[in-house]
Amino acid sequence: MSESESASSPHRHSEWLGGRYLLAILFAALCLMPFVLPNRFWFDLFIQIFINATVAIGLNLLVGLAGQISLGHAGFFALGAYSAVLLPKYLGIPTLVAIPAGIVIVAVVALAIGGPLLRLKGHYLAMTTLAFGILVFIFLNNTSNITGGPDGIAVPSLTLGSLTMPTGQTLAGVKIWYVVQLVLIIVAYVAAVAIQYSAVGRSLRAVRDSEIATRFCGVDVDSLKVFVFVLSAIYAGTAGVFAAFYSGYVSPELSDFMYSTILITMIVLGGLGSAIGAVIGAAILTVLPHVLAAFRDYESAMLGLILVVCMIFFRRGLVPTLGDSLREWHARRNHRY
Amino acid sequence: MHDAIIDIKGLSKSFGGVLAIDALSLSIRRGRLTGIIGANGAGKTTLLNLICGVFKASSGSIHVDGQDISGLKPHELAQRGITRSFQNLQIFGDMTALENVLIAVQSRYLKNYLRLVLPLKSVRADEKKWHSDALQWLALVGLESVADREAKSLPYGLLKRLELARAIALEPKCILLDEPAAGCNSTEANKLMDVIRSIAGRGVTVVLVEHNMKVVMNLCEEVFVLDRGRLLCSGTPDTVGSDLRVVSAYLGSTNWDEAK
Amino acid sequence: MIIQFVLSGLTTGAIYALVALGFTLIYSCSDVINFSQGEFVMIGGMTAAILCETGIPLPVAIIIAIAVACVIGGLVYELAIRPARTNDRVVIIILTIGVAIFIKGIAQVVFGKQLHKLPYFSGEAPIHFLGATLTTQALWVLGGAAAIMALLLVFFRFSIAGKSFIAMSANRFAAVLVGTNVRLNLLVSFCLSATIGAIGGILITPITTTSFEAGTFLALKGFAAAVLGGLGNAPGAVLGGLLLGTLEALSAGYLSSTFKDAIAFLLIILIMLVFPQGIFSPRQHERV
Repeated sequence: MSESESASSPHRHSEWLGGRYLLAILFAALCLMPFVLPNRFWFDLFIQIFINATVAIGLNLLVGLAGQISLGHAGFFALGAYSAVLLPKYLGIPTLVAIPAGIVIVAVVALAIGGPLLRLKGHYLAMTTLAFGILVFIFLNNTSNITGGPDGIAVPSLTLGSLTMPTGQTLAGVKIWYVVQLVLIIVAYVAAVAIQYSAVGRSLRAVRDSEIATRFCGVDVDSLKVFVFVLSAIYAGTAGVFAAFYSGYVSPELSDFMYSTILITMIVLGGLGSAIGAVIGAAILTVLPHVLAAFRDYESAMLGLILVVCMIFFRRGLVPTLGDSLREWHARRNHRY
Repeated sequence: MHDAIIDIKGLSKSFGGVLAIDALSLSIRRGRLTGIIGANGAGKTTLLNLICGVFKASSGSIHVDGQDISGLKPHELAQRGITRSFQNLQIFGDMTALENVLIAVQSRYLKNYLRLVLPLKSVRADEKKWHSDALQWLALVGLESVADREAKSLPYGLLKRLELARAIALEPKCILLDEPAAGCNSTEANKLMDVIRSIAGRGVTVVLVEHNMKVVMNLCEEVFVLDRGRLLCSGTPDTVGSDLRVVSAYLGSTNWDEAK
Repeated sequence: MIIQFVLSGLTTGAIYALVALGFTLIYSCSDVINFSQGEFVMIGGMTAAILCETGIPLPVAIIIAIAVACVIGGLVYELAIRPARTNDRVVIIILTIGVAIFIKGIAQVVFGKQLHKLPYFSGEAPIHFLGATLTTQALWVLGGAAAIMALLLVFFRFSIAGKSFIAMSANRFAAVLVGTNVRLNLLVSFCLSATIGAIGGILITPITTTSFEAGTFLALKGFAAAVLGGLGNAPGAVLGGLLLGTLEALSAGYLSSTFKDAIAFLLIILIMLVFPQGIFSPRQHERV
């Protein structure tokens, strides 16, 4: 390895010399989008990508970085989303306060179940998180008097004093929400990258490689696992709250197993352990149903196929694989071989 | 203060119905290069696991520097100065050799997660210090040239030394080595012995569990022999080697003579 | 009342037991937890139901359905599990979930989204037993499940082929050394699991009807049953299944039937947390 990639670069696989330039271009492009996108449909598409990417980035910290698994993360998303409705409706909390309140609730739930659940590993953890996600779904689906049941429930408008935030139903609303969600995804991304490249991120990777060795290196692994679990839940819950106010409507499907699986597929496709991979995976899987609109019925089958193909052929995901090929191409160009 | 850094009294441990350690009492003297030998199944690794908090004793006590350590978790014991290496390597394969050691070096500062994530000058300074410390530990075991190589690409002998580097990076009082020479050829074993000697020379108490008699003979100042969870005898390598009970229970006399 | 609940619990429990047996079978050969196990149950029931609805006589439909499931089981091994060449647990989990969703997705398209029903094998006249009412189908379920378990027992204990399975689960490497064809055995284990699951699906469909959604819940409950009995412990899997079914039925009857599944899943979480090694096996310790 060359000297330019110093010992302090922990993520060799996903670090690529030109990567930073690409990110800057992407950022600039996203900022210019509101002036370019033709109609509401396009704004909505980008917003959906941002929402999914936020959850995916958080899940990636738990699964890709720390090596755990969660098949029920949609449950946290739904809990956040439903807080946007239930807190103002039943506790009279102003909608603006419902945002941090909902996030706190999700964090508390994650803290409560994280301790016991994360003592488990592998299949057991997978199955219990799956059960959690389904439990949230069953609860939301069967308590019609509180949550509106399978038909879902309308979300009150987000108000700040006398100002009301429109939902994504209008063009004006969708433009405002684009900016809001863009800020959110940027914050989410920057935070994730900061964690990844810090001493905390390094310890999380150690947990993934050998939990027992990490303990013997003096690290309180149990607290660390709960920390990353709660953090990933906060990502999901935050995305959920904002998504609820954006769409103006919530329903139990937000927590179903299919969404949890889509989330896992996003990070697997994009590259486990790579924040930008999570974003790309989210983008691809959000756009795919629209591109394959004719094949809407095959959505489940396609998802399953992607998972299987990725696990057999692209286990590291798109971004690390591409990153490696690009680095090789770059090195060959510079005759380093 | 205490001459014995690890004091074990009446220790017993059973798994299901099997008594792995049976009313064991022994003391490990501070600064002594100590060996623990015994046939397979004698309880050597179980003893290590009990000392460093993996298992809880069924009865009896273990005191480290005069403090009862029962109920303490492995990471707490590591912070208190007891670290170990593993019989089957537990290396962080997807990380570089340097990062492996970094995990140990940075662990005691892993308290305020929020601060560690922010791009503060003090955090950057910490990282720099940790990097140079980690490099020093790698140099101690002779691995500074492979600092940036991914651990899983390194050969077995080097990984054994990497585990050592990781264990001493915590600046422990006592380091427990579980068959460090296992699977090493004689060159690697010799290199390993040099490293262990230099570690012991720094005042660290080294406890070795080993099958390789050459290593035990040449390194250890005191040897404990375990047999079916009990202490069979103890003393210098020579004393133990000539003890007929040990010879009949564990070693053929030819093995011992060959090792000399 | 309680007998009614226990009997209906044992009936569904028998299906959980079959799913759990499928999990155990594959797990003991290969350490793989095959999440698509539940889908085999669904395929068995659905295929038979669809074939019946098009007029094919019941026995023929059943045989075709079993054959279809068996083939699909084999394909899962050959096309998904074997090419992956890995022992990484997380990868295998995601892989088998992908398989499960793929099967579910195709079933959605082929079978449509509506519910399907199979006719009762021997009529709908109920039987009265100890103050409770049973359908004859329940007897088919219990009897069929028992027959399958007996056949498996005979196969594994008394045939050379079966014994090679046991050897494999005890020590894969040694089994290879004595000439066991690992690939063939793994293939057979998948086909066999699929067959067992499909038979379970066919037996229970007259009682519960079936839709393409059924698989996920069954996989989760079957896995919990296998864990309850001790992963890799076949008689334990059966007992676990029966126990889980009974507990589920009792809590549905006495506590709430809307939340029957919720209670089951809470039980599952509890089982994993409290008895990960199963209630019949002694405590395992992590070997370092």
